Amino acid sequence: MFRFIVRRLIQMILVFVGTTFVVYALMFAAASDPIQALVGERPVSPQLRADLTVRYHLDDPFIVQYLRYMGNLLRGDLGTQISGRPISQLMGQAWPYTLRLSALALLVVLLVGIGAGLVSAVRRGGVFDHATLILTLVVIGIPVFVLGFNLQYLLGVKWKVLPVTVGADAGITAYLLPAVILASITLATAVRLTRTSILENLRADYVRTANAKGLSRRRVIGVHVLRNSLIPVITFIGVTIGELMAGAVVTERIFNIPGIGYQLYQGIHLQDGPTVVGIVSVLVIVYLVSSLVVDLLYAVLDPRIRYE
Amino acid sequence: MTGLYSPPPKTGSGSAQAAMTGPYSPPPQTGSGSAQAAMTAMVAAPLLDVRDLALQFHTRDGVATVLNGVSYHLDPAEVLAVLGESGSGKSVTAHAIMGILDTPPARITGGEILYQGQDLLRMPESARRRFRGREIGMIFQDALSALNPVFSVGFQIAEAVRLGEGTSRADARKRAVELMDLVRIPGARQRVGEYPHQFSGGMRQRIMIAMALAQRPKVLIADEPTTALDVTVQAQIMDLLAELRRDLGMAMILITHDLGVVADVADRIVVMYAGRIVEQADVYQLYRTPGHPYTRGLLASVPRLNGKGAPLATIPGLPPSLTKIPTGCPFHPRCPYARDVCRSTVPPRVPLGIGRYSACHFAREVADGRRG
Repeated sequence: MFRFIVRRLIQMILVFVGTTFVVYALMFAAASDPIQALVGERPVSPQLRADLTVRYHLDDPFIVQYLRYMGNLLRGDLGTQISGRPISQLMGQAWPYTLRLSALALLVVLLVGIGAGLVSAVRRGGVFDHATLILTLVVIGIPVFVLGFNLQYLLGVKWKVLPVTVGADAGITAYLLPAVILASITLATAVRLTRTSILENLRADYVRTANAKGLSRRRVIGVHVLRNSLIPVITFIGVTIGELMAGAVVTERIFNIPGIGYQLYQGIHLQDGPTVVGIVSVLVIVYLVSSLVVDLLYAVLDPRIRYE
Repeated sequence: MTGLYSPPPKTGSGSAQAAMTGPYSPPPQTGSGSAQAAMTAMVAAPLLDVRDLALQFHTRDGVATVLNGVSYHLDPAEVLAVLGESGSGKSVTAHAIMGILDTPPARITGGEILYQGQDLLRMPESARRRFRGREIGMIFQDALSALNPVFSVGFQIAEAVRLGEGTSRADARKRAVELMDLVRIPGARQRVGEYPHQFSGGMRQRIMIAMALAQRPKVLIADEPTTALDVTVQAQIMDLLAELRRDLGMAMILITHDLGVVADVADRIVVMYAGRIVEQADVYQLYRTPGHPYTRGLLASVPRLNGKGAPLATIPGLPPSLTKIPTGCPFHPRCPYARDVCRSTVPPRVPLGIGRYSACHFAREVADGRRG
């Protein structure tokens, strides 16, 4: 177990270095003129241009810039935006919004996804089952922004049941719609996966044994079947935790939530290399850590899994 | 296992007597046989009585008649062996008794299953559940898949204990250890928290047995309990089952296709073919003078020491598809005795003695050993 974690951590370092390198290289290649992007349409004086170029080492070769960046990163310095604002400060402000949003989305996936999957499996072929099948297919088929804008219009503007946008100081209810939108595709997949997994387990031999013991149907399904069925579902949901945090770019834009996805979008828009690389680096870490947690959780759910 | 090669020795005189005197057709009219009259007075009504059970599977390929009027009974403290090939309906009958059929595709289309006089098929699920595990316990063929992989064996045994007795968790755990001791799992106290995959095949089957015994059932149905095990372990498990059955005074239905196992343990045998019972007899009679050509074929196909080098006898052909069961006697396409009547008429039960019958038009000839 300990050796497994150590090995995984070493792998994580390699993956982290690799991904940051790729992202850094892409931003380096795509950058046309960050100084011009900073001031917009106005002309930039040669003096200012020269100063900024020296201050941000813009003339150094790629590999020198990258190594300098990584060196700073290891010391916990994420660098500054071109506007001069420290990126760590930017993230400190943005993460709470994203965390709130993705935690709520995760909760929606766990409760609604597993709940709906369970009901449609137990009442297989019933009205609920057919309705969820159609609904999940629709959700999977429609792009997030189409779903987001339409529900925002219907619920926020037309029927006025939920706030249109979230903004900086919103309460948790304002996050409800954005969380559902963010969760939608994961949610739809989780419903299908739970349903399939339960149906498969309902046919398992151990279910027959549990029935032969005289257990109630509630206990057979709620304890014996559910625990086994959740193994693939939890794995899937765990893998998408990173996605729920990073994938908030579109959702945060639609609902005007000043979270990480929103800042990432701004960074890309302004061709702000340090911001983009910094945010992506942190997201990579979120991905890696969540997948490690899922792997460990897997062993808790399924005692047959042993880490050597 | 000597039983393979010679008529089996009698086990447990009390149960053997029950087998000899037990009524062979629906019990209420047991008084009809004059020789029996005196003895039947001493014999209680059967514990379990399956009458004319009919069952179909509705599949995409059509309707399969899986059971076609199956009747057998089980007396208290008796071991009844149900013998037959795969697909003959022996396991399905057991599932029907337990009420754990997969419905759909299975559908019971007729008959009754009486447990101490109460028809299990005509009671609501809530009432029926009280018979499962508590009155009738069951163990299955493949203990690895039959045990839940993600719960410890102690949890699974204790769960059954609590169902039966409503004891506290701690007491149920203690009882689980006792039960594991009872089925002779070494180091039960240390291993109670382990998971099924950590045990060997034989130990897993012992855990299944411990679980089935947790609620002290009066009937234990063992569905091919040794098929998935090594030969040496098979003998150990059968010995354990026989011993526990004797000590606890349970009745047992032993479902198997292994004639050796039957000979050692069973008091009485029913032979199933294509969803029907083709022969019922006590073990001794069945081995000595099989009354049905199918039984005869089964016995002939057992390897014998003195027949070394000679080809094994086989029954020609294959068991019929249950969607297309032959008319008349379902065994006629494979039967050396078959004549015209077999193709057109379902054979009646021909009595061959007390508690003994064969569903064959030529039952007496077969039993007398005449060739067809």
